[in-house]
Amino acid sequence: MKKSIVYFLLISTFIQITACKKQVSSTNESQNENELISTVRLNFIDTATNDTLQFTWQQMGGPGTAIAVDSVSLKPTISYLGYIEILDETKSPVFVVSDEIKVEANAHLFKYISSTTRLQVSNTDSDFHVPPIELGLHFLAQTNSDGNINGTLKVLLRHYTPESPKALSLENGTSDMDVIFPLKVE
Amino acid sequence: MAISTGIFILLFCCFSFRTNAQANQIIEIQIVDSLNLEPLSGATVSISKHRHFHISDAQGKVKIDSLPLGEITLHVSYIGYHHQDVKIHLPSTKILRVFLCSEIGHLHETIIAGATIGNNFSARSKTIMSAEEIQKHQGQNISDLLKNINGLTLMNAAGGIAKPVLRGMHGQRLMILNGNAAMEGQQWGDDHGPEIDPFQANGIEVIKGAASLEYGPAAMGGVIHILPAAYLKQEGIGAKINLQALSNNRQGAFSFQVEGRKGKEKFMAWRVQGSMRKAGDAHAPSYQISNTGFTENNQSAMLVFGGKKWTWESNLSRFATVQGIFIGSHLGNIDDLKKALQASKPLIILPFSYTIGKPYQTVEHVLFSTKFNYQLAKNKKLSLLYVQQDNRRQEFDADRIYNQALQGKPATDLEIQSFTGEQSYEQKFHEHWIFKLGAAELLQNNSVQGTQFIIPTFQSITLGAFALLKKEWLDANLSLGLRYDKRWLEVPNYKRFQNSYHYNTQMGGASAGLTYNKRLQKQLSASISLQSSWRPPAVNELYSYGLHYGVASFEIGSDKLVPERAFLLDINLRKAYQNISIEASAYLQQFNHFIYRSPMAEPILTIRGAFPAFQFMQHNARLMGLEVSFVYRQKRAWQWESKFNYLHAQNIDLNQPLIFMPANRMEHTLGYVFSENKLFKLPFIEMQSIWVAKQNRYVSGADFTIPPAAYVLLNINAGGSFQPFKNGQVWLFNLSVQNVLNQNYRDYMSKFRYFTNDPGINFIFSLQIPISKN
Repeated sequence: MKKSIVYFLLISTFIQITACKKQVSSTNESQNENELISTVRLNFIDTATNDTLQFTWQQMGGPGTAIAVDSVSLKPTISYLGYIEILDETKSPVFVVSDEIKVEANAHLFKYISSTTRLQVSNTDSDFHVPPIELGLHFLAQTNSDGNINGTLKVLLRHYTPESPKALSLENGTSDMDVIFPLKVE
Repeated sequence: MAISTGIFILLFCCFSFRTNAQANQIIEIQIVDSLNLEPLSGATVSISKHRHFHISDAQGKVKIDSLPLGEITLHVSYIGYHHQDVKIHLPSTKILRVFLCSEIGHLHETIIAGATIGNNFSARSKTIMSAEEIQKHQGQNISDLLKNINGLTLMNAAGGIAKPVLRGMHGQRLMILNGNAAMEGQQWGDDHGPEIDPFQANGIEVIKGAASLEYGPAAMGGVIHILPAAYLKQEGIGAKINLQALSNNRQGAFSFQVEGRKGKEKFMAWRVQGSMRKAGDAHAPSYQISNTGFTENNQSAMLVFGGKKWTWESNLSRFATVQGIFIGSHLGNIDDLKKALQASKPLIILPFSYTIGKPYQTVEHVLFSTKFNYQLAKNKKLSLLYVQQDNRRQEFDADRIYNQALQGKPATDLEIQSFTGEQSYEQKFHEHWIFKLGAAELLQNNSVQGTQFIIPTFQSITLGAFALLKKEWLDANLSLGLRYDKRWLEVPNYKRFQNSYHYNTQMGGASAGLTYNKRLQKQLSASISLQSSWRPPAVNELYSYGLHYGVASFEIGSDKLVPERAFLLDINLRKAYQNISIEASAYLQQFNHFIYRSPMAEPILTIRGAFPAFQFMQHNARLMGLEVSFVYRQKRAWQWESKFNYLHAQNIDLNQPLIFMPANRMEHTLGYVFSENKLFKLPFIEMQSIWVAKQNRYVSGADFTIPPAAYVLLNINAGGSFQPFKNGQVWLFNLSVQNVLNQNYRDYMSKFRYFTNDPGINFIFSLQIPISKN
């Protein structure tokens, strides 16, 4: 009997001691290896002048924190050649998400939705499907001439999975990105 | 004998009488285990006046004849059980069924039950499901068993995940005790079910009232105690096989256990058990609920040493599961959510498969417990408990990660280690009094990895001490309990995106309870319970911050939260009349600073778009409820059982309902137990209807959709036992059909009700094969 009590105490003490060891080792600062898309940059090349305009949407602090966004300010009756850059600027070096999207083109699609008819955007590049399906890392933006206007330009990134594939319907998938830029054509 | 005489005479936990035979100066007794109702053979019955001495047979039965008229006292005892003195007036026309309580356990908070048995007419603060009931209701997880208890409902998350909800309380407010050990995992998650192998359950009890103070702040809403089978009471070796098949998700399950015992007074008992389970996608009446398959893989071992005055029981178990998460629930943002909500069926429906794709979660829970009970003297008992557990949970999102270096990593990766110590001392004094003193220590260490942040890494220490006092009279008893707990919680420095955080808190609080049971007339008893308890806010309530793709919502903790306090009044009445028993419980639970998730006015803006956000808040709240049950039982004939359940939960400060509370419900079961025939022993068939009301108490705008409509389900259950081989063991079988009409429905408490109907018709077959015994 007494032996059993001794064994019991010995075993429990042993376990408690080993437990405490583990305890101490984990009190260091912890940091999650999270991925954050911090920045969306739209580049518009004026086909008449070859000037490049850059507009940025940026949220460096993660979800729920302050957003800094430029107004997309375009001139009327111009054709712009555009491309989009998506970055994680919280990492060093900066992680270029759009490069990964290019590799995974078959599972992605950008949609540029303008709130006004004064700006029409269409995708100019395509993925690796046969026949190819539009992708939207590169686009063509066309403004027309009906006076000054303020509106919005919504940029959506759709993400497709084998269960909900792009080839079946562009309505499939879920949203990986959904940002809104103020828009001015004047 | 020395153990059983004298000690805890007054603990006549749960015994009851049952009328069904005729005799004159002959009396028949059946002695059974109070929890699993298994007959105890080898128990002794003596009559003090007449020095008669009898031993119960294999069915636990004893027949004593040549008894004189008048009053006699029977003394019933059995090694390892609290003994009982039972007064009987002869002539008696009754078969006396005596329920003995195992000494390995706690200070039972129960009294003399009325005139019938059954899980609804047990003592007030304890609802019991017997081994027999468990065999009848085997489902795909432990919660499927629990839902048969009146007042208990489930929070489902399609596939194999279900959490028990008792009187509106769940997660951090409801303790789940697995044998000797309180389960410690990530209880905060709505889709985190209890990590317990359903095949291990041999009895289930719900502990409420003053006795629950033994268990600390997590027992605020009660304790669900899952009892594994007791170790063998006789020398020998035995084995048992359980087989199970479920049609809805084409599930198969298998469990095998071997157990043995060596020695009589000084003994060693052991058990080894393992089980496996595999399920594919669940099926709603008109489509597959894709990616809801799961696998489960469990092992457990038990080793008990015992002597004349002591027992030492150790358990080691492992529960591991891979659980698919319904594919239609993981959405990109609020626009996707709106689209899914508007659709009449899931946006993605795939053909049936056993394959578990993303999103899915893996959980592994390893539990070690060792408990030492020592009978210091006839009236003194000491027990020491040590529990160590490790819970690792990884959740993989369907969601895409662009950074190659992070690919394949789980979105959430949590590991919580818990170390519990518990010491208690129990003593009887002045004949009818008993007290118990105890101390408890809990050390927790949670580490967080993964690509997404939900809760931080933390360490906590909780220390508690309690004192329970009980006085017993012949027709009444009174329990008093006091407890104090203190918790230190440290969240070491961590970085969330750009900012650093660090927290250090300490919170303490006292709990007190009183329970009084009284037998008013022969077959009418009443009890009243008053209790005040507290609970410190949990880590997720304080510090969580992150997106839950499950329902596209953002959850934010609040570090301003203070502990919540509950005041409970619980009244219970039980009446038995011949074959009928009725039980009614009414309760009122008033909360100060009730912690809950409240929708925020402004959505959270992210690069994925806007998300509805919820923040933890606290307000005063009130929960009121009523539980009524009616049982009519005839031996080998008709049975009728009805249960009724009502809950009203109100946020008093805001004068609006508390949301996400179970809807009112009603259940009726009509059954028939046939006489024994050549093939089957005690075959039975029963038909059950379950009516669940629409939850009309909701706050419009606080949820994505309004609560689903009321529904009625019809179930059929049949079973019995048979002897396939001459002189062989008796096999138990059961066939049940759930949702017989293949009804389309969505339950308010189902996590995926926004996207899919609940599962349709399900045929469940289970078979229990004992291989040998003795």
